Amino acid sequence: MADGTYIHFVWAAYGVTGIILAAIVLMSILKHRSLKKENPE
Amino acid sequence: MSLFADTFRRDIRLGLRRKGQILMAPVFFMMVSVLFPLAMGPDPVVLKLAGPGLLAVAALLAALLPLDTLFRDDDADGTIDLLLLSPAPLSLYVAGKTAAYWVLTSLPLLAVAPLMMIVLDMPLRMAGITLCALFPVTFLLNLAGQTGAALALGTRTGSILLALLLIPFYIPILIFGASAIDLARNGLDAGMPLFLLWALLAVALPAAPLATAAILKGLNE
Amino acid sequence: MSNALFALANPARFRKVGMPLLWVSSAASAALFAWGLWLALLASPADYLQQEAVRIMYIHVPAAWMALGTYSSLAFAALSFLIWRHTLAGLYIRAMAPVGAAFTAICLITGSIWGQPTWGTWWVWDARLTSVLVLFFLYAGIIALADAFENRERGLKAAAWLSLIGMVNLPVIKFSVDWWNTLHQPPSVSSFARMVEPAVDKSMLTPLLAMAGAYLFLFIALAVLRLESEIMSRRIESARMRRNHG
Repeated sequence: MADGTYIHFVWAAYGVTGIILAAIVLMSILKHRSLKKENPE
Repeated sequence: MSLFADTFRRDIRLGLRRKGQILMAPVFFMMVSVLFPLAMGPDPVVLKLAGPGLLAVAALLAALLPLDTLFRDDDADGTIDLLLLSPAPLSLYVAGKTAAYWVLTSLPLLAVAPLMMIVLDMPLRMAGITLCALFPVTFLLNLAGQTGAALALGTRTGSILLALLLIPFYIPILIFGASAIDLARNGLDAGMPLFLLWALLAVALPAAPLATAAILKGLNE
Repeated sequence: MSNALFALANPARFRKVGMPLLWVSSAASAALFAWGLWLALLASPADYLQQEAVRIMYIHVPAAWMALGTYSSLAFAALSFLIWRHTLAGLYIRAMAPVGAAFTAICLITGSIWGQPTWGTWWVWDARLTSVLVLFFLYAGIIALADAFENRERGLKAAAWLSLIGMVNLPVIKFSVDWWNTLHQPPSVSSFARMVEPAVDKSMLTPLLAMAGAYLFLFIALAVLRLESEIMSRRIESARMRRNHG
């Protein structure tokens, strides 16, 4: 990496993206799980 | 055609009976226009900058206010169900409703608009061009609004939901309306946004009632 | 084509096609994320003007692509739901509108974080930013409308109609915002815009495409998972209705 100017902004942007994606993945999995429990084949 | 005229006449009659509801939109419009100078100070420079946009925003908020009641009574007493069963085109009923709604809520608003121009320190010779912009603006707001009202018919959180639904559709109307008044206020040619407003109106005037009728039909199947 | 789609609405068949698809695209997405992140954060050079901040582009620009692409897919699903009455298409809108909103939010937030070092401010009323903000409102409206009715089917139909009208309205919004922006644009922004939109170098293109692929496969995996959830919750609902009324 270069001298690291603006690197904080990069961490913030990647962090927020990670949180949003993790949240939607987690919510989708949890919803799927609970519905599956309620709805045995 | 008689369905249009019947609906129009009936809604005007019903509306005139409920004075409070007709007055709501123009009173709200005036309130916003008067409160703003009180909040920002009476500096003519500020008013010159903010006045035109403020007029457009006030018209937008006033149009949104009584919107969730547009189809509610007709839905509750079964009028819409009855019309769906009859062979008459539902779009004419929708058009009649919108026209009546415009006369009841937007016409008084246009009538007090010159008064609000004085309050916002705008020269009265601009009244013509301002009304030329506010007329298509209010009509377009109503056409978009009726479509939204049909979509949200039967929900409990009517007003808030409608505001959320309609923001994206109101934005182009707001941009062109405010720009037209603003350009005229600064002595520039407002032809472009005015043309766009009237062109949008020419498209929306037939398209919106047809879409609204299709939505009412589709949702009540 | 339409028959094949219709057959997929059968939950058992959907699972048969969906489960392998879910695993394959999850794995592809994870691999592409690993490769893309390595490229974007470590193996690519910092920009001459923007220094490290250019790395935000690799998550920001693909998010904008996904935001628009998801919306187009919603409109297409709305069309096939309203005209050909594919139940699966109606459920797709309910399932994927939140995912589209998430990508739009990522695009807005990373754009805002990118704006601070390059433009010197968190938010600029730039035409593109404003259009994406309006897109976010459209997503929010669809999500709210789909959930606002007691009758599920009615919510699906209303959301489909809104997606469709929104698609028609999108060019109008885009045009109006562009026009508005040229009317009010302060001169400094255009030079900054050029700074943010440099001719994309090859060393930047690979991480960009890798991240775009990672997003796309994540989107597919989420589509399968969330669609199946919608199918299951619909079945539970109709079973409950039968119990109550039958």
